Amino acid sequence: MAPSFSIDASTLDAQWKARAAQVHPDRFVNASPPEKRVAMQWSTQLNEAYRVLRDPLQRAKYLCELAGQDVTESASRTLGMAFLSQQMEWREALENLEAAHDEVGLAALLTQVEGDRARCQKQTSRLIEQQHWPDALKSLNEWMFIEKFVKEVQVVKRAQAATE
Amino acid sequence: MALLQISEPDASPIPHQRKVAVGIDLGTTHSLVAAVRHSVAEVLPDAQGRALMPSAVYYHSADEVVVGHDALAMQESKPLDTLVSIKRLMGKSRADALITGMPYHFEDMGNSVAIATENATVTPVKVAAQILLSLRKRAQETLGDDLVGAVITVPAYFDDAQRQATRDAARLAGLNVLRLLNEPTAAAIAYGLDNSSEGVYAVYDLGGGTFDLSLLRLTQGVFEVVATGGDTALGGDDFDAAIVQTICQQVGLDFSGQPQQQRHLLMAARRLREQLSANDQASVQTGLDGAFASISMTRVEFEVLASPLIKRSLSCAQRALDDAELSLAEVQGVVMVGGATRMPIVQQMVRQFFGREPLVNLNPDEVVAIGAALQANLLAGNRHPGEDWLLLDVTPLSLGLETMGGLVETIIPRNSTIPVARGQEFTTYRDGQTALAIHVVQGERDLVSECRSLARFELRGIPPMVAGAARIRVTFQVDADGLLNVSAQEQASGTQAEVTVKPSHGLTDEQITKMLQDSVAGADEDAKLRMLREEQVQASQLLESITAALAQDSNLLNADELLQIEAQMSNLQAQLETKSVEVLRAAVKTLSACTDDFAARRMDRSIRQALTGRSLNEI
Repeated sequence: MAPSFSIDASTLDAQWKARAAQVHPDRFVNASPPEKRVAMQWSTQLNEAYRVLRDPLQRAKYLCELAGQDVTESASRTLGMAFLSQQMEWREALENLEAAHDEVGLAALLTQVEGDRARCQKQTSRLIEQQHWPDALKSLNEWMFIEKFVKEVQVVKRAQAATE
Repeated sequence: MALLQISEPDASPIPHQRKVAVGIDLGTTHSLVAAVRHSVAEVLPDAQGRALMPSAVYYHSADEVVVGHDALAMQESKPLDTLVSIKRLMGKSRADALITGMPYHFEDMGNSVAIATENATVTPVKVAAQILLSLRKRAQETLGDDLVGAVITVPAYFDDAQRQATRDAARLAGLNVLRLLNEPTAAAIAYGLDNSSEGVYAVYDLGGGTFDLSLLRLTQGVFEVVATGGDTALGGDDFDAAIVQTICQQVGLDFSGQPQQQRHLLMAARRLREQLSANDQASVQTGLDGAFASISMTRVEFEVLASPLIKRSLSCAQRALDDAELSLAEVQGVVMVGGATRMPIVQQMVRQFFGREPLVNLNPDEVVAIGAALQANLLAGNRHPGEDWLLLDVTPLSLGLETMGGLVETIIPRNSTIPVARGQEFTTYRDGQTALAIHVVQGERDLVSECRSLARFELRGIPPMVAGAARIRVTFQVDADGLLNVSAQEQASGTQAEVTVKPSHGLTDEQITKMLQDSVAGADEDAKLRMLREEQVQASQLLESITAALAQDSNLLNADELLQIEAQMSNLQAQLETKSVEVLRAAVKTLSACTDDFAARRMDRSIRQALTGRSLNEI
């Protein structure tokens, strides 16, 4: 598969499984210890490659790294004030909804942030394909923040559903 | 061990020689051994035709034991000395053991718990080894002598310590462990291959003492576990305990200090529970006098007791679904495994939860052993053309390290496909710090104190630097058995430390080696002669395979390496007729050691070729 953000999930899945079938330690149960070690290392690397590539955010990060961009250092520098204040608003909204046990409100918030995430993913993907690095990194950073927030909303939503 | 024989991974090196491998389900209540014979996987019964062997052991003395039905018969008269449900103690410390509420007398033995009975004090590993040994003998009587190995099943939710303990027990029983296989995954193999299913399946496995829920995606011969959840302290035993507790409360009596009475009641409760699966009301004799001579209950009463326990299992199921980001509607089938799933209330609540009829067409007691036998046969290299599948399993619990303030830093999150390796960099917090204590934990909580402590070790010899300057990389590697290995390295100096996580609770390698040596020392002359012959066969095979490997790939070696290998080959050749197993074994070991790198290089080249020139770094 060529390095690209837009990849077909089922192709990736099939590629992973086909290669796993060749290198998995189960294929080398009767081999000697050094051979087993080599098989485990290959298999480990293959699983890691699959883990990174199947997740859109990890994949985007990896593509930026491949292009020699520093993903970690730039994290706090590139976020705009507008984005940060919206993050604060969201967090406040989440706290209020949690305190009020407002399930309908939570669902609406989740839909809203998931929509933003989708937009951000699309934008990042376009910027990566065009190799507009500073903008791609900025977009990627925003995406990481939104992703983290989506997870938080999901946790609250699940916790509330469980107490029903 | 066929050293250096690189053949097609899917072909057995010696095609005409069938290799017998068995699957063993080491259960809380009972254990089974199964094997593929005449292309069909079947459970191997004992001489009386009984498939299930009670997981019970009674020690007449330290060396003289009875296992299975005969041991179980001792239970009512010797409740403190007849060891049952020992699986609940695998990989546990004395403190852990006390929490189980089991009636035995517990002691410390090294890092492990030991159980003191009237005739012997033994560790759970040793007791489990007796059960495995008994099954191994059964297999050898049925199949003949040449058993190449076994696949042993463990609950998917077993932690590292429990897995290590299981593998140690198998080693003590003289079994070559081909793989530790998760029980629900084994059941999925048995079901999947039977029905050639595709899609997402849930395996609901409620055994005597443990509960597992695994979600698998089946596609064209690949069994991919996407998430697993469970509770290693939830099983049929807990339903029995709930019955006893309720009945005692009704009468206002407490038997907690009287293990013999308690054991009678628990056994009666199990019979009562089994009868309630078929009847609306049941009554059983307990063998006690007075108010407890018999106990009775209606199914409705029982179901009130049972439903909180089943709800606990279903909340594990919900978490696994959340982890896998799957909805209930995406689950195409629910497979029921374990004797406890025979209870109608379990089936009813599982049906309600998943909104579909659970699959019960295979015997829930046997399905795990059958799946293990199929996998053992595959791993031994006996598969027929067209019969092939691949298992991709996951780690059940997150693995991490203790950081400042008793917090856990997760290194490998739960539900990662194995084998998996992940690293993290740490640094020193004091000027001139030369050592770093590393505490490995397993669990889902943020606080170290609430997780399972797996191991502690120290990286020493870090060159003195200012605080924060050292770069210490800690790497976790989980292998295909789900076992963890941790290494740490200071990046600048290369200082290294490594531990195979030999858990805080368990036997050390030295202890295992000593136990094995003791058993060899006690072997008779015939056995010693057989060991010598086996070693000779292995030595000849090693020489042959190295000769073949050199003919093919000697260009992977430099002149020095080649000379050294040739010298060790002639040394082994010269020792082939020796009468001493030790001398021959040493020569084999030396030759193996000096060809390790060669074998690794050949393997690496062969895999690169197999992946058709596509480097993993490229994709």
